[in-house]
Amino acid sequence: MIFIFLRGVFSSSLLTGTSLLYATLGEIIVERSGIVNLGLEGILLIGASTGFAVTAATGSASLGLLVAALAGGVFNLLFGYLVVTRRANQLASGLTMMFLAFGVSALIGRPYVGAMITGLQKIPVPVLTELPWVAGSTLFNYDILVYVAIPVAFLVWFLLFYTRWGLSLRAVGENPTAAFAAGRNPFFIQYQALFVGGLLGGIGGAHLSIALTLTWSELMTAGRGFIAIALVIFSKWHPLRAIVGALLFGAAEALQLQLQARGSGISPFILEMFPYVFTLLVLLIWGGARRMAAPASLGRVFHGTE
Amino acid sequence: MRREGAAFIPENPLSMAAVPNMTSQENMAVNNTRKYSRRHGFFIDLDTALTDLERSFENLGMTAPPFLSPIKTLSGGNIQRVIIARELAQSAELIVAFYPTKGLDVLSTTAVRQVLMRFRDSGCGIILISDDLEELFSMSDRLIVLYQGKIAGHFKPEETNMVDIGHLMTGVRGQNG
Amino acid sequence: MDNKLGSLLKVPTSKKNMAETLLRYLVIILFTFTVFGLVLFIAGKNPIRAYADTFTSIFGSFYGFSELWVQMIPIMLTAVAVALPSKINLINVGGEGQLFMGGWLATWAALTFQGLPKVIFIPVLMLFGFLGGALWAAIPGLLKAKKLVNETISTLLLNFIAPLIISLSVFGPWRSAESAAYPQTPAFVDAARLPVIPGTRIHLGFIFAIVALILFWFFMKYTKWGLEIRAIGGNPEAAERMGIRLQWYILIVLCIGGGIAGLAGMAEVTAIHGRLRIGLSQGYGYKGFLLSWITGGSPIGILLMAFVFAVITSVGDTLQITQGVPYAVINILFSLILFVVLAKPVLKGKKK
Repeated sequence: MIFIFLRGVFSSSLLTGTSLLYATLGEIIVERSGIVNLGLEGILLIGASTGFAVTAATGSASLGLLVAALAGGVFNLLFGYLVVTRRANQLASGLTMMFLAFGVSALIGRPYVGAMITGLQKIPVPVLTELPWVAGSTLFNYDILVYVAIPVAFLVWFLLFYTRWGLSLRAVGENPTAAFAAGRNPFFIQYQALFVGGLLGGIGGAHLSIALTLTWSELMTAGRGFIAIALVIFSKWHPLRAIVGALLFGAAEALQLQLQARGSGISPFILEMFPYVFTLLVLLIWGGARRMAAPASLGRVFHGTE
Repeated sequence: MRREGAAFIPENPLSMAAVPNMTSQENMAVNNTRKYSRRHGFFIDLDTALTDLERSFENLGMTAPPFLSPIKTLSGGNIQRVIIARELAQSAELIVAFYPTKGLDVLSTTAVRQVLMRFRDSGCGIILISDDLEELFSMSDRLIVLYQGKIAGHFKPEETNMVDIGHLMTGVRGQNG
Repeated sequence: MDNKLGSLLKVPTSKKNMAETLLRYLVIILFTFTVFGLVLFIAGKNPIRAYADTFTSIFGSFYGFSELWVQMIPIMLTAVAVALPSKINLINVGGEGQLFMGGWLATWAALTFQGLPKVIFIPVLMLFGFLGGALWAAIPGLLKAKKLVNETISTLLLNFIAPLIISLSVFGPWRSAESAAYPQTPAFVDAARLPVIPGTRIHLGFIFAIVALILFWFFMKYTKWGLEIRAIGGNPEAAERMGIRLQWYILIVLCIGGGIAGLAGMAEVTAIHGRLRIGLSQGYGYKGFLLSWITGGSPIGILLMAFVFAVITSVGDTLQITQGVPYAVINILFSLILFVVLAKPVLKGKKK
């Protein structure tokens, strides 16, 4: 019995953790360039709704995924217009974009509510699925986004720390004036960061609708965007640590889901509070990290030649 | 600090001691809300604050800038004047002044120095932080030189001269160490 | 004397300035409605018909028109809940949760003190509504005052927890035995209900909202605390040096804001529903946030914009009924207005 329970938790963690990881990675890139995007929740919704809509309309989940990613990227560029070009308050702008996404995603998703889709194809892991008592066929059988999640984290790590692009990006996040003086264009770099971050966020959102639940409903992300933002702090803006964070949170949510499913006697509402309370605690404990590890210019507005 | 009877004249008055969007009158009032509040804090007596500020300017012999526009619209020198007038409007036992005459014209500079001396004469202690040696030598009873955060020397002005002080300020060892 | 008048009316009240501001907002609103109309058109809907239908439903009947004012009540209150903390540069997105918790605590009081006469009962409920919201806001307030967690995120997270507490109570200990199919508390006794204008749903909460706006305006302009709050907002370092207690104000201001949002919850529960249900708020907290930001926290602006918001809500209802468009699309309208407002000012030399 315990075994089935653990298996469920493991499987669940991977599934829920995946979208969290993509979202967190996207936000890490954006924050590393000095911008806080509170509208991440909105990007997830855009990804989820667009992905689902395209998949339902065309029958191709891959196309849905692609469009979702692009939609996320473009949406973030809009956010970029506010915070980079118009130099508006980042927190308020992010929330504005989130509300915009509430409305846009509802509009996009509405025609397809209740549609049946074949989501992202599940790909079984060759040897492991044969394992007898671990019920390998269900345990090691996921969609491609799950398998690719950790490699993508490594890719982001590599991009940020071992490429010129990443170096410039981090420089802008630490000290845009210096980066500007060194010949970089902080505005352009921030737009790029936002686009890439949006791509990842869109993927994270799409995973929810075309892989995890195979449905669309308004506001289905339920605050995951904010959990991801907390995860960014928890992982000290480092993509590899984000893997740990996402898995941890995935496990927490999985635990909660499994307890609900198996009838643990704890009210489902209390269980549902768990991720948010957990997030608050994480922020409480790791909040101090902000001052040490955060990109120095996070949240500040760069003024060009002023 | 206010409650201990100390006045503080900072180096960058606009960023350190004033609220930019508020008028000079409001800056005067908010600096000591206890004094200017009426009816248990429900109201602020801006009129008295204004008169006190005007009177302080008279005492200091400085020309008053407009008091009813946001303080950030005043020139740097004017802002400094307002802050000084504000700080020195009340009786204080200790004044800490960071480059108080920086950016002021000759007339105001003399006025400020005279005021500081007057306060000194009435028993007030003054810590004057400055790099203007003339000012320091002419006004101080005692000189303390800081170099890299440590006290490098402690003199009476009569005992030393500007060259030696200059050396101490820049780290070159003087005769008396 | 010129000085005195000038010092009394610090806000740009010159006729030219006010007219300019009004015009500016009018243009923004028109622009937004046009863009939204385009969005609807692209989505295959009929915007002209939507706007026309809304117009008839609002101005076509007394009840329709009165509903606008009903809609304005909770959002004006939640807007103040955001505007007050915004004066010391705090971003309170938690109006939604604070509203819920105010309604929750007021429900507890309504169910517990059932014997009270109306004249006493209503103020008691108001007190508990305020308390519920204030205590819920005290959590992020303390966290921020102690420099532990940013208030934007903490208030946001608490927004997700509050409705779960409502669900917990409504599905559990407070569940009414009668309506077994639909989870809600038993109906409140008549003494616990707020009076309404007959023929409409406009309730006493409207007075709360107007009073809150007036008090807010008066408080900020004329009291010592308002002055100190403005100082903190203008230059927190200088304010602290002047002896103003920052931590104290952070906590108090968030609590008062939360309390006002709690009052909105109390009003919804006692006037509109007469019981506690899961669907207590239709995003009123968030609308209040948008309202406050669009108007820069100005009391008169909040009043006027609340009317516009109520009209937009009506558009949403109409769209949902007549053209099957999800209600949530009105978020596009709200956020577009704020988008334009945010995009306008280019602040020179100002950080963040």
